Amino acid sequence: MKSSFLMTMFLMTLFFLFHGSFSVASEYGYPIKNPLSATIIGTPEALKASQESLTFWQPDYVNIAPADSQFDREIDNEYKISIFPEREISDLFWYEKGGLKYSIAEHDAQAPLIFIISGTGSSYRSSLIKNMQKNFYQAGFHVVAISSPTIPNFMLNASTSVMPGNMYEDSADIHHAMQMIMNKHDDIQVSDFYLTGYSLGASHAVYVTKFDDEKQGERFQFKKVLLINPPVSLTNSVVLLDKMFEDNIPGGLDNFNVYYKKIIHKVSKFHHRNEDLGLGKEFFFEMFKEQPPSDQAMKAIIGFVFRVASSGMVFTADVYNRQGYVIPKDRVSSLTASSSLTVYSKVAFRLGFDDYIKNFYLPNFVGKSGLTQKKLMTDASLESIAPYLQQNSRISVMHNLDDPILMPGEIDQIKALFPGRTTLYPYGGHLGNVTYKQNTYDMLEYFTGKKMTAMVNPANKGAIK
Amino acid sequence: MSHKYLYSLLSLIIFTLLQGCSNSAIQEESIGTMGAESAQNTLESVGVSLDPNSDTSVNIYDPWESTNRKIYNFNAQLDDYLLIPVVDGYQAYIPRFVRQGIDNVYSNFTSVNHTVNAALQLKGKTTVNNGMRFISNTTMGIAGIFDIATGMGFPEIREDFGQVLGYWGVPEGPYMVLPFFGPSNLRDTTGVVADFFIADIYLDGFGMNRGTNSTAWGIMYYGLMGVDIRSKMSFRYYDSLTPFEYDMIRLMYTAQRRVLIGE
Repeated sequence: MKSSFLMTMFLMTLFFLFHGSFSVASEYGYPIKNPLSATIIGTPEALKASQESLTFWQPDYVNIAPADSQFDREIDNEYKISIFPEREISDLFWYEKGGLKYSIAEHDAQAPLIFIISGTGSSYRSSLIKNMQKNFYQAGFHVVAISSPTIPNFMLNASTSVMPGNMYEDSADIHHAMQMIMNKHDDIQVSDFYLTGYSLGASHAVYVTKFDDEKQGERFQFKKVLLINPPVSLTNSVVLLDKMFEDNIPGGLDNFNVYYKKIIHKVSKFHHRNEDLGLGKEFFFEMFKEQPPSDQAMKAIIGFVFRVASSGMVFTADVYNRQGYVIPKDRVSSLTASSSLTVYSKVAFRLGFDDYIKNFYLPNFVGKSGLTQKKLMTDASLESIAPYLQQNSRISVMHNLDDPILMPGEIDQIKALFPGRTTLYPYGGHLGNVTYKQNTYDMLEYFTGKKMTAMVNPANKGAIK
Repeated sequence: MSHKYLYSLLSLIIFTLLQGCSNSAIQEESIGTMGAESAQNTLESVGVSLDPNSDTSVNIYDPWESTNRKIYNFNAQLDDYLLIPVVDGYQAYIPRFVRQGIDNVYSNFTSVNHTVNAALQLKGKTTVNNGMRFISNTTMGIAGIFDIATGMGFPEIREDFGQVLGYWGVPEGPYMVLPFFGPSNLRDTTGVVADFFIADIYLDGFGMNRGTNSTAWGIMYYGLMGVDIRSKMSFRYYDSLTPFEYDMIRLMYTAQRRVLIGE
């Protein structure tokens, strides 16, 4: 009987919805041509792959309720696994005690298994993962969903240093978690292992694969790996996202409260004229059709969401490592489950990811690894492992020409790093088109090796292969 | 009589308030980033003013924060151990058309509140809309099981008593987190209580909560209502993936109410 949380969540997506630039492209059918709108809106429900359209890939052993079922049952189960049982987690994070959370959608038959790694600040139950999980499951895969090493649950339960940012360490941690998960669920009958990830999760997928290839002993030997909208250089993308937030609040961050009030006023005025819409999805849909937000406002929102994620990450790393970055070292032990964190949230909210890299992560890792700052920075870019990527035909990429987290020229770098293995879509922004039906078909074609026939999908074209 | 459970609810809320007052308000605001040795980054160094009226950050009046956070955590556990498992079972085993019917019946009852509260805010058109909605769904919709009013051009327009208070200029007061209900503030808490009184009057009028079994009836009625409402919300505690979830929810709840009330 809580007051409507769903609605409050929608307020967060305030400046998000519609830009109204819908038109039918001649070839690739994803309708949102503005990359910022695409990033924010994603794929409208009607343009996702229907369950019916995926029966083409569905093996006999798949037991899935019809789309019009009267009963809502999840296809996956959620679990927790304890990876560092000795580790002490502050009472402040009481809700993260008990282990790393993940989910598995599992068949009662021998089947290939696919791991999905989520992107910065998102978990194993993000809506993107849920959607992909459903599609892969229907196509016959067991699906294991893994959170990003940048979220508190992963950091506190599965990260060696609890200080995300190092591709090698974070990916080794993911790999370790994956192996522990498979050992725990040893009754799952797996034929082959596959791997995918989106955004930062795609970068992790690369390094997990590399780690697996070079490792002694038990290995997954991934058969195919798919990277969805990876950053080319972590540093470049992080700087872009930091700036999106900092540079697009009118009057700068010092005027955040003015901005907040202005948004409320604007939404309230629209609501007053359209009370019958409620405050849900439909309301924001209408509002943004009628009053499309400027590119500046949309950048602020994308940056805001990223900042919420990064400020939480920074705070968690500081609490665990007692670095005195935002919390005085001697205050950490006095924090309890009901301590006010407001002050820390305000401080962390002002510090970008880039600041964390330079003033928190790098100083620590230079000492720990013996590597120079410069080496650590270049390690976080795909260029640093170019020969490996160029020769590794099991790794493919899906990306968008208009992805706003890429710098100019980075698309060409991707094409060079994954020769003949890159699928580029003309639109979609950052991840906006991941659940678009054609992207889903393309992913399933890639992983199953089963090409959809032209008769089934006459419109399946448009991407540049 | 039927008021027993209402009184228990009231005493729960009052208890909460008193708890809050007794613990209240050691404002950590100015000391948070200073220990014996201050942190590398402080409010000052990042340029956030300590003045609660400044524009450098959003400040929401929350003098009972410590209690609020405890109740927030209580609600999170209530969700984990009780509500979500019940909701999962409800969705897995009760067919959708039955759930929809239950939801419609509750919405129909609540539309009486929506009507009264619209009238109290002098919203003529909305009052008529909500009244027509109740009448047509109660009759042609067979006691509210079917929502035919939306198709007839009378959509659901929610109006709660907190909005009435806001309309007449009552300020939002301190932020509060209520057991079971979640985020609120002093004004909206008063509104919740008032809405229960309104519901009690009409439920009594329909003869639905009279007799010796009124307590059991009340628990059933409001219990199922809780499951219905929770099943429609995708929110999960501590799933926002930031340790500052409490702060975020406080910010968003307040924004949402200000939008509704037009402040």
